[in-house]
Amino acid sequence: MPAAIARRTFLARTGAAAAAALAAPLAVPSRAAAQTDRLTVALGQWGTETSLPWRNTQAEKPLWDHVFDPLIQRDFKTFAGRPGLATEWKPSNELRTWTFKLRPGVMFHEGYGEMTAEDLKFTVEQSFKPDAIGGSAYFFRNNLDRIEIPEKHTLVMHFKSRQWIVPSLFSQYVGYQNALSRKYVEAVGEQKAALHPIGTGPYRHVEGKQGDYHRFEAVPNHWRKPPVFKELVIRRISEPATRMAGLRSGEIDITQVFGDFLEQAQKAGFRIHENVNAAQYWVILAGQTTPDREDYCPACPWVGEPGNAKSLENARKVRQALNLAVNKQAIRNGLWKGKGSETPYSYYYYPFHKGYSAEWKVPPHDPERARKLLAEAGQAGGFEVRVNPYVQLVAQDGPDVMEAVALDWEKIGLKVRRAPEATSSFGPKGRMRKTGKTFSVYGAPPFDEPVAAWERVLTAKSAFNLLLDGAYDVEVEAAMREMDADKRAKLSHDLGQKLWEGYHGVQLGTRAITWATTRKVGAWQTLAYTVAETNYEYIAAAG
Amino acid sequence: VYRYILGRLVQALVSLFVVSMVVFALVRLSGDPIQIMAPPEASEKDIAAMRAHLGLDRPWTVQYWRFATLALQGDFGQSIRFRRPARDLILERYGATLELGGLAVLIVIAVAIPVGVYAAVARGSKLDYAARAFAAFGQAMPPFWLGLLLVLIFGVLLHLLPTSGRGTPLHIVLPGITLGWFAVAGLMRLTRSSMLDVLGSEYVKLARIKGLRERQVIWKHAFKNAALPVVTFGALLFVALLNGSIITETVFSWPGLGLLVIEAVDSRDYPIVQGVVLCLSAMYIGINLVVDVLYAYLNPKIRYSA
Repeated sequence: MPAAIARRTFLARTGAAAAAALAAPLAVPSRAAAQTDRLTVALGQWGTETSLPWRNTQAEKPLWDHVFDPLIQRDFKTFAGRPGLATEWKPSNELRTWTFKLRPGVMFHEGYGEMTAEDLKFTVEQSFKPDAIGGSAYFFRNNLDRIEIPEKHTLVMHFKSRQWIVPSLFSQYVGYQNALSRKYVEAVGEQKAALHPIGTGPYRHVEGKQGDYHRFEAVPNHWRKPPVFKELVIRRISEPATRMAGLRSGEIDITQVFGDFLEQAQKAGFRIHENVNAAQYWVILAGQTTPDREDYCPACPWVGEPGNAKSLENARKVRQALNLAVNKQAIRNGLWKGKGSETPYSYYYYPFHKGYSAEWKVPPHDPERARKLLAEAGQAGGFEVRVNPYVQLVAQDGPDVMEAVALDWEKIGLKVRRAPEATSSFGPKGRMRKTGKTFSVYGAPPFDEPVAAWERVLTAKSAFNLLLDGAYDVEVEAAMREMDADKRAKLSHDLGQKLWEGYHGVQLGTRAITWATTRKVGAWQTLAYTVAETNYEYIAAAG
Repeated sequence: VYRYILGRLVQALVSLFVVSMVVFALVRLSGDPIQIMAPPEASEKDIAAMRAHLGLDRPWTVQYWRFATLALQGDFGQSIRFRRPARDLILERYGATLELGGLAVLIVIAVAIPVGVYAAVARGSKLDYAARAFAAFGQAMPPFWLGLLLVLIFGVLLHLLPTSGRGTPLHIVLPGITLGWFAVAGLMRLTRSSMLDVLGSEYVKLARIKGLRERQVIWKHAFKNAALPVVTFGALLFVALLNGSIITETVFSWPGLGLLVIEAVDSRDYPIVQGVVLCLSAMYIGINLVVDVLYAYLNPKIRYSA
């Protein structure tokens, strides 16, 4: 009976194969054995994985920043600009022209020659491509007039109007304009250049698989900082529990941890590296927008009717009550595991900004006063609000924090409706101000000046509404137009004060970003106030 | 027979057409990808220009016609997020998914059928109880929990296997077991109950009375007749396994189709979502068609009723 024999043979063979697969670990040692000269970093997400400045976003920085050198480095502690690829940068023609002097002798990886102003001009000019929608592409497309190269290492950019923000666009972490090799991109094409970038940075890209990992090698004698670890592997592991397991098994050396995973890492004896005051948290009280938007809600107790002083004052009282009702200490201790602070702030105003005030304290927890304020505002019986507990890049613990806030609001009589919705659909609604007046938690990253952030998120023309729209358009515009840095700082301070006094968002405190590292990782000079992993070249070996 | 097959073929094509329309409409109803991709600096004018550049400003009918005609040629368009052909991205990730699904299929075949058959033959024995307990346990245990448990035991405590990623043959062991576990339990239960049905039948008793060896009775006479529902369930199960698992791939960071689709949905990457759904649907419909035809071949009653 050949058929019966074949079936039995088949079953026997497949059984043997499965048994072999199951028994394999007993015969072959795991490759988890740590290598001393390799550093493995696990990231939860890395955006579009493209390194091209005209196509990328903030999310790609932990993946590619070390392949490049920024024109303007940042001081680790103060966030101030320092010479990088550019040795100096200065404005002229009433800030319509910016001249960058480039460092000579800096070489591209893989023999693509010296980095010159021609490479930088090429990089910036890619912003004019019709599909360039990342980085600072829109800024250049709308404001750049022309670029000149008077000599090999000098780049002169002429703008259509006065621009004080230009250096920021070429700075570490905030800016996007990494210098690409023109010769390389033209030789291999944009698609290949995006997946295998050639830069001048301390690590050279060796190979990688999209969605999986990328491997880099240290550039010996790099002009800025030769890395200690010869090899860097960055892996994409979206599940935090899996990242934690990788850390515990020794396959991963560095990964961001927060909440319960931070506690687990501490208990397991891992080193915890902390970036204090990295993300300002507040709850966005949607509805504070302009009348032409769907979310506009003058009848909402926290918004008020424009032109009606009494109504606006009551709304301010309601917003203050929403602030006072929340137990921030409980959030800091319970959710942030002590890695947060009460550092004063106004929205996007960090301690390193000119005009910062230490008086901008986070409102205390005072539910009694909150109830009183609600009563004074005619809302003693409370009202209904809608919240979206969702995960964001800058507030990965968003659901937990939102829930903590909601529970506190319920204690003062509010009815809180939870309406969970992912970023993919909620984000665009926020952009269009069609959230259904839904509140959410936000973690603000730093900008060079707070007004640069306000212009993006605080005016009627802004892309997003991350606090309120329209009410301070005149102030924001005046500050943006002011070219004198000190005068601008004064204007910014005044607006910072108004925003803080207006209780437009519910201030929760400032969260530290924490990483767990294995014992082979020594000191790490992370950049102050940043929420993402960068500066791998500044990681020392332990011991 | 030919009329039956032709009828099923037409049904399959209609199903595929309907799927293509549904997926095309659903991804568009879920919102505008440009609103996710555009940075804060982009004005309404910039956003409109980008929408026009990607052809998303045209009427749905025009967009569908373009999508359908290109899809027939295997072209699903450029990924909005990665700016690479969606087909290339799908093919790249499908290798990893096939690898993982393949191992899961092997595990299922090697474990579920023999154990299911012998649990039925030795009904009420310790093996039977153990198999039933395993099946209940296997079907009740969520894959993400099982996956993390395996990672904890074999990766963290014993340091025997990698906890995540893809690279060496060892990397596939834990995700393979996790993916196959649920299917083993389901197929084993079905095999057992199907075998129990036929083991009590007259022709099996007759085979035994005739003095046939027990192995022949079980595998040649009983299992062959019990296999019909097993084949149906198994075929669909195998397609499901080969199409990957979002949960298993996420837990083990396995760079397959599941992870790609999740990311594509998050970023509203139409071409990838459409491409993947169409490919997987075609696979399901194709396997169903083959199973239907096999059924008709194995069981004439089905042919006549059709």
